[in-house]
Amino acid sequence: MIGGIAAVSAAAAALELDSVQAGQFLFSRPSVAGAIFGIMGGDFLSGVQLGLCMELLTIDQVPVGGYVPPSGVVGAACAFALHRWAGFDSGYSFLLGFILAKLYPFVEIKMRQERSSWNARLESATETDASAAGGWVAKALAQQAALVFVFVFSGICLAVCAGGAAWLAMPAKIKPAFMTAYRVAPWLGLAALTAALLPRRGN
Amino acid sequence: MDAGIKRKIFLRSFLIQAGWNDQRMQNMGFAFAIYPALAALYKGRELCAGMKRHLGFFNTHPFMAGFALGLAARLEEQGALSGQPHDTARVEAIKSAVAPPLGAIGDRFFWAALRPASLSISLLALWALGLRHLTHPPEEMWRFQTSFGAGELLVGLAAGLAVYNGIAIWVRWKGISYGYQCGAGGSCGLDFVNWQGMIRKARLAGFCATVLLIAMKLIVFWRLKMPAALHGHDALAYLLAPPAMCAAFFTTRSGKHVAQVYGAVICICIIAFALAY
Repeated sequence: MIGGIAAVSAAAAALELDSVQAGQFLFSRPSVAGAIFGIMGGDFLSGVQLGLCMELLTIDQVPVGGYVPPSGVVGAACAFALHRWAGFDSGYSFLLGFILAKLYPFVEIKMRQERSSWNARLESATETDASAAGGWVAKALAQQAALVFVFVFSGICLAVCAGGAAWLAMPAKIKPAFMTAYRVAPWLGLAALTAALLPRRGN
Repeated sequence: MDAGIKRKIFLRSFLIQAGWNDQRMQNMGFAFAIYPALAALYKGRELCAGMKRHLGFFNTHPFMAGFALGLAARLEEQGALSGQPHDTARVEAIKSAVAPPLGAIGDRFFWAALRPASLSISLLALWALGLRHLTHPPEEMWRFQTSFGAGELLVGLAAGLAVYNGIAIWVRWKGISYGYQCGAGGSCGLDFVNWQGMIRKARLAGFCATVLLIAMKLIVFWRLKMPAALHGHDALAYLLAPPAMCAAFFTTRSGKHVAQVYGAVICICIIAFALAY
């Protein structure tokens, strides 16, 4: 279980680099990431379904300017791991994954603020070494990957404990509510996708 | 700029957002990407000074950065050949002038039109290949997707990625030469293609694919699953779906996030189960 969670966290760390820092090939698209997690965990259909739902509910949020949208990769990784290894039902795993995806931007914003302090050091390093930017770029990639790994791994562990405790304390009759909401989620996503793509006047 | 330098800038441009920071945004990635062009023009302290010129604020859409990189390479080349001291302020001013409109177009085309459209294409391909359920279906419905496997999944996802990356990589590659050729005088990328028309076409293609997908899902639901769906816990999901879809549509249309509607659906489900079941 721990090995599986660590592997999914490592894959999430690598895939999240694609969303902002390196490439932007959309391998960080939650549906693609979910399929990768699913294949890694031996339940690819759950992975792709959780990933697709995560993507449909986050597709309307775009990283314009400095805005950091919820991380679909983090959400899909956490939801899949919670479903596969903690045994939570898909609906409950999806909700917990979605909450973690919404929390991730707070960490990312802090990291971006902290990185601003690198500028002065990069400038002084460039005075003597013209290729210094390469080293700082590599450092930024490593920092991002490490942060995502720690966030996903600790987020899953925390969600297993807190989510598990909440699940046990919850009245049995409301437990199916999460699965019902999860079944509605793709329809919400498709409606949002239609609205996002509906040509506007002037477009 | 020879082909080797262009290729190096192109490959490095995939890291344009590495080191993104609040103070100067894409400056580290830009300096990293422009390095091969500067290294071909300068040596020693001049090269260091050249790199420092590109560590100032810079922000645009990552796929449109090729235009700005090509333009900056041209300005540096002109400066080096003129033999005059470099006008850093002019380079900064030109970069600052081209980045925002390129960013605005890139955001509207790639993020707001092509990315969702490629998702619609993937979903439609997955549907055509056999994926009938976007969530776990009730046990009795599993038979509808038994033929769906990893191969179909990869083909479906690859369809959307191919459309998206084909266009994105082409713009990145062509943008470098186009920016280089336009110099400081042209509109530098804004007239590269008819962006407005591309945005309209991408939106329309994605919109049609999504509407088709919804229509097919509804037809299959109506013909095959309606009797089973109206019993048990699933009845609530099917009753909630139409009003929730309307709410999601208008919420997204008004610029708010669909996640709010999902939150409301969870609350309604919890209340309904607590009271009714």
